[in-house]
Amino acid sequence: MPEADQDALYRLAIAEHGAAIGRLLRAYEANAELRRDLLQDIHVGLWRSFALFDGRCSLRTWVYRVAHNIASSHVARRIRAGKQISLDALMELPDTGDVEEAASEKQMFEKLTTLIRTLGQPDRQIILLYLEDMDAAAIAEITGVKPGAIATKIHRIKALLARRFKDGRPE
Amino acid sequence: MNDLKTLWKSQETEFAPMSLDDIRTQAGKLHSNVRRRNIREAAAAVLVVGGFGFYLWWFPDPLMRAGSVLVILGTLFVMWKLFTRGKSETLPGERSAATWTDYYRGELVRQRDLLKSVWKWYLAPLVPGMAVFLAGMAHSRPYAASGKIAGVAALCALVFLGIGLLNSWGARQLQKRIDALGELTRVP
Repeated sequence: MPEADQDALYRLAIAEHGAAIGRLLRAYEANAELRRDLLQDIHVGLWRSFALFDGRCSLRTWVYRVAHNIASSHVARRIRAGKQISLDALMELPDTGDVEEAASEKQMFEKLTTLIRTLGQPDRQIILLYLEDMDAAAIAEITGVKPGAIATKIHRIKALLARRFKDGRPE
Repeated sequence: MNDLKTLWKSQETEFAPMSLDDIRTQAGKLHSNVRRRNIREAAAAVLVVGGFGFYLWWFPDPLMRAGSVLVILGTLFVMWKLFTRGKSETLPGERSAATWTDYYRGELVRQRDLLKSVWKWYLAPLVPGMAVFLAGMAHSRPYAASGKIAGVAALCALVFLGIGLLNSWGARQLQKRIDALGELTRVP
């Protein structure tokens, strides 16, 4: 692909999905300095990837796949990334409660981000895509996880969030 | 739940976007993790090559000198393999737009194969040199008389065996994760 097309695709991708890429950083990396490195990796990876973009999937699917794959590799490389657990295991754990009364949006956001960072893959990716308002079919296309399993996981994610944020914002 | 989605989407932008010039510059560089690892591994290789280079000059025994040359060549071969591997690990290229399951499976398979083949590319290249060097020590004074050669040889064998077994165990663990991944994608 000519570099001009690659640049144009990159610009379009950032215009449409740049904000979502910015949001996923906090869910993958707690350290601000390393978050900046991760953002750089994602942007470079995205630009590189557009040399191979063939339109077989939508631009959105492509962008999310690249961003999440690079972010997953970043976590895998981090020795101190912390222990990650599955959604099922997290549901078994009691809420530590320190932010249960989280009144401010900032506290709620911190609690949500911490909870997401606890999850291993693909649960972390699924909850992030769910928060970005994607349905099970779109999440399945991005992750490759079968739609039935996605639907089950979304059901559990909803239950988990409802329990952990019970005094927060009901639907 | 919608409020949690709104909360998630309302987070402030933390960093300014990168310019295309910055991206092109960064794209041409080796990833910082790979760069750091290359430096670490090159430093270890310099120590081994330096050490056996010194033996080459210090020991008069032809077998010990031949062993030193073989160890140096083996170390250089291992370094070449490590650097070649590093190049393919910089940032995901064509695989990066794969679904997460395919991407992750690819990573696991690559790591498993690397661990499984550690005998071939990491241990085997060093064995001839070590064996010849130890054989040289065995008939060279004052080491021949000390009776310590068998102990040193056994220790080397144990270290090599330990590294090999540890990597084989790691490969088996990765295979379990690859198998578990199949459960997420297999449509009944």
